[in-house]
Amino acid sequence: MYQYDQYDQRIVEERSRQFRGQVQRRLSGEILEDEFKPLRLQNGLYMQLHAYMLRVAVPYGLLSSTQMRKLAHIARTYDKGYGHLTTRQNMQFNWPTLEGVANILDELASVQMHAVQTSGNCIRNTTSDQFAGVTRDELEDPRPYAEIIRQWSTFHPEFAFLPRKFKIAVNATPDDDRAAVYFHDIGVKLVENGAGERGFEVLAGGGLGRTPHIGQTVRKFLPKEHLLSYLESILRVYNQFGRRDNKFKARIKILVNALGIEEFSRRVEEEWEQIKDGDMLLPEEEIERVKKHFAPHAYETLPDSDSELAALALDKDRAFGNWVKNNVRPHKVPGYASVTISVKDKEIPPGDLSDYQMDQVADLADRYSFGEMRITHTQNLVLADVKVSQLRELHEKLVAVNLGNANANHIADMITCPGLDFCNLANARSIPIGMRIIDRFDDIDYMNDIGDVNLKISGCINACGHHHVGNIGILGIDKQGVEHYQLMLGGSAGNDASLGQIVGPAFTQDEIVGAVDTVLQRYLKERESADETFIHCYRRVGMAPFKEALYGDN
Amino acid sequence: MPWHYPSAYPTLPAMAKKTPYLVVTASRTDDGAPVYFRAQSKDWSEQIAEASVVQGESVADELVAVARAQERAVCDPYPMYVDRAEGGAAVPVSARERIRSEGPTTPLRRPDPQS
Amino acid sequence: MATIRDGKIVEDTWQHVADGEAAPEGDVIVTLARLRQEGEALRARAGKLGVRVGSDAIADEIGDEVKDLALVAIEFPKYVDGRGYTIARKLRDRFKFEGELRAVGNVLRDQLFYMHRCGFDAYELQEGKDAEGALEAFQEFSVTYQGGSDDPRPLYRRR
Ligand code: SF4
Repeated sequence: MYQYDQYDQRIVEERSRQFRGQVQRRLSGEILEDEFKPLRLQNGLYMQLHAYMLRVAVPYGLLSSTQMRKLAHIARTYDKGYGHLTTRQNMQFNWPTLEGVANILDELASVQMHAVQTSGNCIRNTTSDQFAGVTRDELEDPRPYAEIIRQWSTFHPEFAFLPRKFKIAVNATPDDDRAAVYFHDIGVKLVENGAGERGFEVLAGGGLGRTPHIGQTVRKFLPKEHLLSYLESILRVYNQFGRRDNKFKARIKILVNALGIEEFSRRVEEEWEQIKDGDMLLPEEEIERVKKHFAPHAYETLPDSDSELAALALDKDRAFGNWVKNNVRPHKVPGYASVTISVKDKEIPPGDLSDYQMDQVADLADRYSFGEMRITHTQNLVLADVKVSQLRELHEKLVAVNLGNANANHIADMITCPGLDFCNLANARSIPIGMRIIDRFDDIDYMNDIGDVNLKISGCINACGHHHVGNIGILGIDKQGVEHYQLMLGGSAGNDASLGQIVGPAFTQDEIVGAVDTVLQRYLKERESADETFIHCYRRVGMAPFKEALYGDN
Repeated sequence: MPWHYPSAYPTLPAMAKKTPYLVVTASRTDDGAPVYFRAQSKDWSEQIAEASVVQGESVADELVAVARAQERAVCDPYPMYVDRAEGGAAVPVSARERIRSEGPTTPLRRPDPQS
Repeated sequence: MATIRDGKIVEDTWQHVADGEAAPEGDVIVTLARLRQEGEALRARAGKLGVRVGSDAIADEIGDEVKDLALVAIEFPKYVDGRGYTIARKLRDRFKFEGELRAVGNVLRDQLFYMHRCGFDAYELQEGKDAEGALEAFQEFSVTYQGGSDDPRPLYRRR
């Protein structure tokens, strides 16, 4: 993974010092909340219902075991002993004090980490595929480009006060988009042109929130050396012309739609013509320098293990077999596999890890996966490089720390936003709904029968839980002071991007879990075969059968 | 259910009263904790039961103005509706403020395995 | 109100002149509208001439009109309004503006470093703010990743 040199290190140390000064000015009363708010927000520090919340940046979700142990230490020392995994592949802490945050930043800097731009109207953490570098279906590892973008966007002087937050994702898999590039302010797709050259397709204007939009292509093929100047041009157009009069219309998707993709692209290209051949040109050496940090691990030469994996999925130890089937995927190197550690369990909020579990996972990463792990946007962890021969051992150890659930990509493996239990903007709680659903689908055979399906829950229209792109989406609303839940069906965030549609009148909190079950039972009746997943079945039969199952004839 | 999940925060027939009860609340600067304004001593308490309850929005707005003088200690004071439980103590009307005053309704941390 | 120029607190000789008010002796800053109406007369005066533009100004549209002036002041109506940064960069980089580029309005300490990097060299710090303390802002970072108007080379050309 990327290792800081003296320059990178100096930046995080200087940042930490700067923020400590800002905190001191706030505590002394030299500045008040009005003035402090934008400063703390540039540093991932929110004010939630019960306390501050600090979001720590985990660039494209990649963490070393040393860093994970540091996060465990922070959770123990400055918080209530746990952390929460986020949909931007970050980790957040729900209970730090203001003074504590200044100390946390020093701790983070000591392991090459920070909280820079994890909130605020600036360029946020660049995300990528959680299986980058180890998956068979990618053109090349997208993480070096995500890192190059991270550096360019860190303290970019021109784009610290954009109309609204700005999110970029990078992927390199033509057939399976795990980075949701169509739902980002900018999506960067590594592609090959007709001449076999590698470059990027650049998308803009995607996003969820109140008015979801699917991103559109600004440029079909961009040579690699122009990556940064092109991003800079898009940001420049957005910074000048994005709306600032209404925060609900300030995202770039509104601008792209107001201008139309052609006019938007024209303005971007016009800007780009002026700067493309300047100092921002990315030299081959820089790309190579960053790429070196992501060189493949020292894998052993092992025989092909695909058939072994298939056999393990049928293991007579069903807990293990199911886990292999649902949570383990083939690796590009023979003899290795990538493991999704499910952080979804009925006892605890989805995505929460205790300091103890963090330490344990760090140890397991050291022992089984070259000391690295990844956070996924579905609020799980991944050990990307595990020997197939060690899977059983690893599974036992994960079970011992409540991280061995076999529910990856199934109904219990949901995304939930913090909702009304923590969030200032929420209309309804999301976490308890999520936990109840996990509880309802506790039977692994039932869950397996239902197969691949994803569920996403947001506690309000801001859509942090991505409910629009859940195969099943749940949106919390406030109906005369009572928490209610709208059910949506048919969303997908992948290459076949689609937005879910509301089925009908909202449900109460006592009804919503049963409603999800009703939908899935109907799916089991409607599907043509066990190979037809929920989303495919929905696309074939449409909303009507589900509506009827939920609301009857009228 | 293995966790605390009050499935119905009763919704009080909202704002029916002509002169509703209100208290002034804010988040404490040091740690973000919800605090409630005591008009007499011009300070803040973590206990909503200790808050000064006033009647009517305009009176509450005046209290907010007084509380605003405390903006080193707290962030963004605002008025919130309450009802009076028996004994006169303030109980927030909205689910949001109930959760804010009582804490999350979900478990906070998984206990370590016994071994 | 303190004026900071080139990292120091300075005595300010410039005067902002409202529309409809007669231009006094000395160096004056007028609005863009006034510059457009009375440009010739204003340029013929003895003192230096500067213009004040709103954050909604588009650099590509005003660049040629203002690039030969002694000063361009860019307004920050609220400090979260970041359009002024782009205006500044374009005036410096594209129109090669060499006069004083001044940030006015809701200008606070924690913007100064970014402003400096976008080509500003003077700042009217908001009334009541600690100007000495604000100077520290220029020293807070010794490394930058991207190029700016201060140095166009990204770190990868300096590493
Ligand atoms: S979706 Fe709404 S409730 Fe959920 S975290 Fe986002 S803002 Fe809060």
